[in-house]
Amino acid sequence: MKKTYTISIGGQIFHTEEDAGDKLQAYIQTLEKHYFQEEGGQEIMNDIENRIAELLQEATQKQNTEVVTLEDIQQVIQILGNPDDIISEDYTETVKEKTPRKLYRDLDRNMLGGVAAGIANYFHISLAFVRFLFLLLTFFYGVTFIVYIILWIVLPPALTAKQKLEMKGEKINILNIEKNIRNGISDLKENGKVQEGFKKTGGFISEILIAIGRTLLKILKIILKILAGILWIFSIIIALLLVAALIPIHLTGLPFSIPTALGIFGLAPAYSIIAVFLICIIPFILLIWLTSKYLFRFKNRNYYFPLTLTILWITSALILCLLIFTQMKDFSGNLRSITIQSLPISAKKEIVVIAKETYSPEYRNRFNTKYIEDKNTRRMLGAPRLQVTSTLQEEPTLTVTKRVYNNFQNTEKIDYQWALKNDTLWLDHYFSAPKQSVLYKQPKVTLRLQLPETYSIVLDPSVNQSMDVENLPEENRIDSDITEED
Amino acid sequence: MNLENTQAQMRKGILEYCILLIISRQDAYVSDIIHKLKDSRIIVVEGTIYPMLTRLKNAGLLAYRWEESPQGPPRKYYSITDKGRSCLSELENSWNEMTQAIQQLRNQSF
Repeated sequence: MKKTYTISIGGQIFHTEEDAGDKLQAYIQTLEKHYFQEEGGQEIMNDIENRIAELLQEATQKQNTEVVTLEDIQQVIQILGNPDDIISEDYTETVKEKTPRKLYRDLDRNMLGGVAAGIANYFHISLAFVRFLFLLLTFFYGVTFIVYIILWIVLPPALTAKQKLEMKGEKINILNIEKNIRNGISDLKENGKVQEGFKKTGGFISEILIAIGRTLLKILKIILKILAGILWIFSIIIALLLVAALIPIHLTGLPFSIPTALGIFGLAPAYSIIAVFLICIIPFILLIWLTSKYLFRFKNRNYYFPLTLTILWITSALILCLLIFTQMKDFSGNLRSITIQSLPISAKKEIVVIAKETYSPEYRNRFNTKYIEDKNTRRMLGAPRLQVTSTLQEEPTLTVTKRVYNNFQNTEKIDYQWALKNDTLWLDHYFSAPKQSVLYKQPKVTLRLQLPETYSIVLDPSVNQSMDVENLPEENRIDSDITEED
Repeated sequence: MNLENTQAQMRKGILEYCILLIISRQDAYVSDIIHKLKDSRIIVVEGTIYPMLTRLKNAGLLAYRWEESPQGPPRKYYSITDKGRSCLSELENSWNEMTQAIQQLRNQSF
């Protein structure tokens, strides 16, 4: 029992046994390869296929069978003719068989690497001419030599007979291959000695070049390792610094700390600190990991480590962006509160200003920020600033300006007390604010005392001791507070 | 010299001449042509004829028409054209010249 193919040929359907079908296909393909090279080839094949169909039809009818066997096909071939017979009898009118041409290096006729010989073969020009061209070009443009070297490296040598024929653009068939081998043998006898001399110098030069290349590679590797090492140390230092920077400035001795930096920009919640920390440190951790792998040859197949770090980094970046966004959104918050109070003074027109010590600071931190305990919460203390100026108005006024620098603080939480009694202005020497304020840019309280020209002022020395006092030369109107120096 | 090569060359030369000759007498199918060739003791396989016929047709020396055949699909029925006839007469001239030359050479005694 055999398998069958169902074929269609010459417009008719036949069932052929497996071996018959293969043989028929091979036959037709051989003929096609030959005839399709010319223009009328398709028509010729059609005629042949039609004839084959005719013959197969006869065969199946005569034998009263449904299936074409190998013998049938062999008979068809006998009638139509062997492919070789047909093709050899066939004269083709100037059919140019495509002679494949590829650029190889010719090692049979080489001086250095056979580059010139290969080129000469490809273009069918004389080798001496190509060499001459190379020398000429090198004389004018030294680059040409480098081009030669590149070609030497890049082009493959023609080693097999087939390659050699391709290189010269000769048809690849038995005759040519045979000729090639014969030529090779005779060439060897003739040129052996002359060639040897050239080959030696050529080989020598090429060896030198290869050796140079190898040493360069080694040097490169060493340099790379050194760079990686430096990067490794650097990343570790930075990472450690960043960990230290986590702690707010007033506890460590560092000039830099993340919470303080954030406070300046108005971000203080814990997660923002963590976010910034992660954003800064993760790249360096990855760097350490990578350089360690390279230097110490860790064969680390662990993909989760860098992956989780990257995801963490992205999340931190997103959180930070969110925070910044919300911060900017609320930027129009109440950052400043101004209270103006007029001070009724008696006809004496003299005002005495004294600083009142209401608080005694309980403790100070390293940076000399003072704190007090107030109803079980700690609050920070700051000194207000006093500005004294004249006014055109008839009555003296005191303007208290409380200023915060970000949205997490509230001017209402700043507490400052003063009092006017008997023409004496008692100013507290400290204002108080929530202790968190110390993480941010500290809030400020500015007192502006405006006196009409006719009034006089007596400043108790305590005032100068406890706060900054400024005499402003001219009247500053209240709205110009906006441009005040802070 | 390669005997088989020369013999093949000879055959190639006259095959076209023979085909034109046969068709000029009478329009013919491919099988007719082959039979006539066999009768004249020129052995040739069908596979050689088809391409030759097509090339002659492409050169305008032959023409064909489709004719129904009793055994199924229609077949090509070749006839010679005027151009083919003039080509044929030229070939006849060449042939005569050659045979005369050879005859002469054979007859000459050295």
